[in-house]
Amino acid sequence: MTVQLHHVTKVFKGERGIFDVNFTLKPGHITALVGSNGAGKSTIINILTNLLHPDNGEIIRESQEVRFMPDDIEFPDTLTAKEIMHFLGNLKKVPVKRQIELLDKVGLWEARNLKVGQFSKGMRQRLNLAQSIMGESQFYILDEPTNGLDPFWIAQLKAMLKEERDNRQIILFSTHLLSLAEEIADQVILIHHGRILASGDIKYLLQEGKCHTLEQLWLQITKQEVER
Amino acid sequence: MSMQMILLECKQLLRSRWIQIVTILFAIVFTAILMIQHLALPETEGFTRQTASLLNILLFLLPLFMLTIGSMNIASDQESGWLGLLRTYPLTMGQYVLTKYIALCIVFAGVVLFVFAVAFLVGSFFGGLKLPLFAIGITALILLIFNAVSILVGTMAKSRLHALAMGLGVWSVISLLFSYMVMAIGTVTSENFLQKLVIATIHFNPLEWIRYGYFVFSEQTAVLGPAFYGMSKFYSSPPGYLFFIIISSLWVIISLVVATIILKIRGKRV
Repeated sequence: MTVQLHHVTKVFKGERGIFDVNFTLKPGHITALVGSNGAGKSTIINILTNLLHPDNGEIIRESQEVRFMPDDIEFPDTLTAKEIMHFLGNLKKVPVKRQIELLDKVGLWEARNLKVGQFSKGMRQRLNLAQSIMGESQFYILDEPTNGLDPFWIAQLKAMLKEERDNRQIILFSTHLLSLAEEIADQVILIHHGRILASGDIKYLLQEGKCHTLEQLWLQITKQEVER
Repeated sequence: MSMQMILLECKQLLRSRWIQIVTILFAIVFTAILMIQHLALPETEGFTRQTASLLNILLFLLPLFMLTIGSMNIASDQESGWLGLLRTYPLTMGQYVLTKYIALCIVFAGVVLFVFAVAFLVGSFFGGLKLPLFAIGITALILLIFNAVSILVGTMAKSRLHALAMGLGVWSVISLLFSYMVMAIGTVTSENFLQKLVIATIHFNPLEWIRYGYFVFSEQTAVLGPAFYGMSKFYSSPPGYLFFIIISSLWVIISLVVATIILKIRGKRV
């Protein structure tokens, strides 16, 4: 199973959006969607999670189901972490035992009976991570997953993503941290002002651009784009 | 949609500060007004000032609470990104709307029962307070219709504040402006046209519809005067009862269906 985007375009008011986006996501690969704020990362993610319909182009995939970790979500603050996992787990028919395991995995077992309104930003983000792991879908999307996480949990997140990759999942995450993308991703999609500037295997792209780091490559490509 | 989802929605609503504050406020206002009426006026049968007060409290306050809380509840889910997340789960917008509707009905039924219980308890110290049976029927109808309307309002709002403003706007139109508008039009039109306009407003304003329902089912349509004899005669007959149920159901069904459609379309635009 692969996920393919062919000539996908979505334009918002003020000429913002994404234009003629093409890429393929493969199982057993982590793909980083990298770009500055407002580059179009969230638009691509919203299209892939079916929250947005493209104006043009097509998306080829076997299943519409996704596992999704959104950016900046506010969980109902009068419910506890356990209740939220129970509610969402019930929708995906995830056994209670697995829900408990996941709460434990993200370090929220002790805080399971606390209302989410009492959670810190990091705890909310870990709950967000726990809910996103639930389910059977092979397609896993994470929108700025490191936001609000401390270094320990960023390390845990990286380990979890590698574990998902080993399980032949299709993983796409957006970030503006080039170092994170370089560290854990196999493929990268560099997006700027709604257009893909480069995409493919990171090692190959670095070799082609004669760069040592993704940051150098990013600066080189965006500089060329500005000069054009 | 499952029972567990509905229960969790109920839990969420019951823990909300808004619901708690509204329950206390409603209990105080409801009990106080009933007690004042009970102590100040002699007990008589039929449509008295006491009955009118009770009817007005229910028709004035309950829709206000429902329109604001219900709409904010839905708008909050949209604003917080929670609804966006739910869209990535195997949950249809129809199931989401229905779950919300059932939960809102259950919670508000609980609130009203609590308020009635408080009124009874306080009333028992002052020689017993009678709560007419119609109050239960009227309340049930208010709950069923206005929770559906509040969901529709909530889906149209973009934020909690927007939902609050819209909820208050809808409430003021149906509870105040509609009547004043009819009265104003009545000063410049013929009596015949005014009668037709009033009949139309009864059907197109859920608040007036419920009020009219009270007069029909309590067999007090005479209060409305001879101008409404024909209409009241129809609604007091078995086909009229059926028609009343159909129109009441349409308020609920149309509101929920339109709310579902709006959520589906909005989901594609984001």
